[in-house]
Amino acid sequence: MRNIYALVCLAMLLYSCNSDQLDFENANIVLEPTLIAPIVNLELNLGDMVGEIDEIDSDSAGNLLVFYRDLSAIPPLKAIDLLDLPGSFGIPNAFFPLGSVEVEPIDVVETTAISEIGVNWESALYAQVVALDGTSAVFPAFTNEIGGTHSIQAPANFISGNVTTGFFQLELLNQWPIDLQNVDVTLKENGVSLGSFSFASVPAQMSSSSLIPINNLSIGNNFSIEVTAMSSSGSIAAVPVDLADQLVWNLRTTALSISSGNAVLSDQLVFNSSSVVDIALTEEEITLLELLDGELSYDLSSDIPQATILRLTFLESLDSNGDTLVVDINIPKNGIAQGSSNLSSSIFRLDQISAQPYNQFTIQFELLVSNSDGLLEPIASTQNVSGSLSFDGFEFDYVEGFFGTSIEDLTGNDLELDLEFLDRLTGEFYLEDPIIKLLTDNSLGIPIRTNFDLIGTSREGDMVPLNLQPSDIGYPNIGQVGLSIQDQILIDRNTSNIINFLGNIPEVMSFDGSIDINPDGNVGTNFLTNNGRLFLGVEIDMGLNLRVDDLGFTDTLNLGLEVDNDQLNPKTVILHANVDNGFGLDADIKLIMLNASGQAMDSVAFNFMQAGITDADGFVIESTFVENRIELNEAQTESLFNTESLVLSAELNSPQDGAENYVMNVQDFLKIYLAVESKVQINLNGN
Amino acid sequence: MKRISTSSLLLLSMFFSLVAFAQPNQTPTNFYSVPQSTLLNPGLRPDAKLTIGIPGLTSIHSHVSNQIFDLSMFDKDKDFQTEFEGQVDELTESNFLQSNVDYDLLFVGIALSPQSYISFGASYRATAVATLAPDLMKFLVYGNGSYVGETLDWSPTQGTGHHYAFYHVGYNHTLLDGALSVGARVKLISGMGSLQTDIDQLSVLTQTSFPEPYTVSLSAGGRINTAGIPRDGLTAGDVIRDGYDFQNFGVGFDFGFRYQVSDKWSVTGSVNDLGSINWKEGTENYVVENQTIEISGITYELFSDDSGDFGDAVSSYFDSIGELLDPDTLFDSFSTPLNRKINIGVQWRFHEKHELGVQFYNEDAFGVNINALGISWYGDLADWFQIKAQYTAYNSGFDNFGAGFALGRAFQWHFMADYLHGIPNIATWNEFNFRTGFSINLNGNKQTASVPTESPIEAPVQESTP
Repeated sequence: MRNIYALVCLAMLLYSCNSDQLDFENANIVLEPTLIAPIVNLELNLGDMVGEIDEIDSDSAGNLLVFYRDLSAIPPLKAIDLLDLPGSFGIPNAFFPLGSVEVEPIDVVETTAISEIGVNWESALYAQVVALDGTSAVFPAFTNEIGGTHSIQAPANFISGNVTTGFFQLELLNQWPIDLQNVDVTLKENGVSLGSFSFASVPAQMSSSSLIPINNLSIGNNFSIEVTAMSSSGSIAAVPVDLADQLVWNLRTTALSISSGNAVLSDQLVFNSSSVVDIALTEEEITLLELLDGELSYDLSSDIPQATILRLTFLESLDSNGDTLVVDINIPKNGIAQGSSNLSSSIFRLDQISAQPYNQFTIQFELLVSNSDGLLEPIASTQNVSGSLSFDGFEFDYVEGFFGTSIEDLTGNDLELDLEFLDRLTGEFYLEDPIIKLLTDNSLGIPIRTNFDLIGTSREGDMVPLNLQPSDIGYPNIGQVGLSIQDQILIDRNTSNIINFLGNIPEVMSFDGSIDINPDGNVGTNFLTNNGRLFLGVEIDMGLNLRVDDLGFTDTLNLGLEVDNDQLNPKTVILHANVDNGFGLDADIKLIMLNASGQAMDSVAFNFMQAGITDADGFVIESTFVENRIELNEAQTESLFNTESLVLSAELNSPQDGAENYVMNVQDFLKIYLAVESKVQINLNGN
Repeated sequence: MKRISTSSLLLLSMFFSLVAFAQPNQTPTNFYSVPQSTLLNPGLRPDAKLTIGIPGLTSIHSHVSNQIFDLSMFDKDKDFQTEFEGQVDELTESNFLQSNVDYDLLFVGIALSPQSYISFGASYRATAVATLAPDLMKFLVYGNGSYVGETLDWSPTQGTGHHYAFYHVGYNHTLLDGALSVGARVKLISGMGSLQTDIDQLSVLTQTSFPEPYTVSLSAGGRINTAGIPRDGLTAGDVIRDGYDFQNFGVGFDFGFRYQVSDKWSVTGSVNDLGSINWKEGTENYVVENQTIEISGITYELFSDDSGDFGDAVSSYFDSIGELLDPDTLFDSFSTPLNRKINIGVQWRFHEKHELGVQFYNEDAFGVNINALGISWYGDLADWFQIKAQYTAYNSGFDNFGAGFALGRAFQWHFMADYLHGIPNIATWNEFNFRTGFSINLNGNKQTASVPTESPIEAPVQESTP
């Protein structure tokens, strides 16, 4: 019994150690469930699909149209680029001489008593008068007696001068007790007669004046008068006789101009002349110029011993206040004046000269000399102001006229059509009635005509011209200054090659040609404002009434399923795809699985959906339901779950293999129900 | 001496064979000579006037029952998938996974008089039961593609467990001149942690439909209660404190009797663990209202929300499904019942040293009903050595053999294990159960065949009735 116990115990001990019948480490713990998962349940209509695409819109009937608009297809054409004003023009050699100048008037007074005059009479007469001195008596009459020569005080404001023009005036005040008649006086300077004054009657206690002209005569200031004759009828009654009674002589000048000398000057205009300035333009004919900016630059020197002002008066031109445009340039005596004067906002009329009613304006020049404040100045007629005057930096704020004919070349401007959905399409498609509009927004008052074509280049490089015909661009007339005129040039199948142009699915539209300025010459007044612009845009209205035959659509999905192939290994995949198609398009689908390097690993192709039934006008009237069962083999399955990205390539056809039209409407629907059935190998312990 | 050597050799060989497997397996059943048996049936009075369990080693019990799968699927001579599928095919909703750990830290028993006996002590217990929905496993093994048009009910997937410390006092009284012994025990419980599922509905139905090729209906609803599972982890201090702070308080009761019908016949019976634990501290409840989700695929809204990455769209699709099942988090109190056990036995002492018995066992393990019927032989071979062997039949198994022994009297060591049949066939060995402990017994009287002390059947774990 003891042995039996021992054997049993030993057997149990040994057996209990026999655990290697179970293999936990190396067992291939694999499950292979068949999993079914609904993946996609899409019910959407075209309105949903295109709602996120800015370029697609719908009309009032819900029919889709591609609406693309770029209001600035090319850089805007600027007014300032159409008219170039000369950078600088004017009078390079201005010269303004002093010439004869008017001096301050001479005004001196001298007196002579009876005794100083009478001593030159006949002696008897003079003795008779002397006898009466101090008495009241009848003054004797006398006839044609001389009165002698008498010096006149030298004037302080005149030393000498070559008188070109002027007048001497002598006024005689009779303080004698008798009337005088026929008094003749000769004015002398430095003993040389300058002229004679005659006083026919000078009643007692009265005065009389006489004037003599002076021309082209050089004089000093040593003046004297000589009484060459005098008469009197004496007195009838007794009068008080006093030999001290005087004659008062007042010598004055008026308008005395000298060409040289030494005198005191007075305020005066010494130069007054006008000149025509021509804006140096070739073909342009400007009649009105309103400046936004610009200035008059000057560089003048003066040897005139008095300060001067050069005044420029722009005839028929206005300053910013609406007054005649006047520019004063202050020039110091014997000095230089350099600087500029702002002409901003000035208005120049350039059409006032009948011989050339454009591009010219007139300036009146005046040289003003200031008085010398009582100081004697050496004066010479050759003294002058000279230098240059120029107009610089002219920029127009507004300009009228004729701006010539020119060409703005647009070749080289490319317009990339940012139509994302078109980027995914390849092949050709036919649109029933597309329209392209050239949109203009123009504030340039000038005739402009298109003279270019648009060349559409597809992603594949195929180029198709639009065959644009020249068209005039709307512009504002002279009564619409400041307005911008929106206009459009309609391009349709009747006026262009638009069907083929858009059927090529252009990715880039290139401008080939120009726009012409004043294409018909000078047929009216042009105008430009400084901020005038021409914007040229493009609008594409493609009603999606189309026929497509094997139109390609490609998209890439980043799949990234990240399946751990060590533990999860799909063996087979069946795609159950039910499609209820309310689109008028067939679709053959090809799925291409790409590896991380972008190389195709495998693919699967199948007919995904059949076009809905359309009426004669191309509208879908009934959907088509298709059940698809796409079974992937083991290689395709492995590729699907290892792919980094999945290329979805579809070939689309409108009904009857592209022979019939399909009008895309927002109500057209597509319902896709996709489920995946997959036998998945799950390796629980990774062996 | 020879008998001692032979028996010891047998027992030692059994013990070490289990150790070799690292899965000890002994039978815990009718041992009159083990004083700790009064913890299972308060109606049993130990024969020693004073019993002191060795502190920390009074009694250690561990039990695991795996009725869901066995290890044969890993047999190197068999195909895993075929074996696994076979087990899944046989899986029923009544199959469960159960584990229990009992650790009696302290036990003291004192005979107050020939009629009265009192005992007290402190223990720790952890118990958990889980069931796995067969349909869930079928889904994992075969996928929903094999069950189109058929609802896969995952709701039987449940799991409940808790662990706690309890402090108990028991009293035994002998009546009818010693023919009847009755006893009761009260347990004051300090809950330490709990997890409880209450899945109301969880199912998947895959159907063919129109116009969709397939649709999937996912129904879910229920709640998961937890307590004592702090998000930031537990410290040893937390565990000890939870064992005596009674913040999650419970009460349990045991009742038992033994009646000596005649010199040879006796009957025993006990009801253990009537009561519950109320969890109100550190609780969290994850609640999903009953709902059904129809899954038909990624809709246009999800597509239109993506960034062009189909993988992201798919992820968003499944995320959205997960969000629909996203539970609300509450902080409500809840209760877990103690695992109520019933033991009823009839014993026939046909010989002075030998007794045969029949025991019926029932346990309500968090709703899982466990029944067992066992036949045992108890041999009182010597004053210092007793042995017991047992066969237990249960609902889905008729191959449970257990054995145990008690060695010594004043200083006693007991060791018991079940499911010995698993030793030679580990591939189908799904359970183990053992108990061991030490005690000091003073002034003990040797039990005789005429005055047997009955031990209840201790927790034979069997499949519940489907």
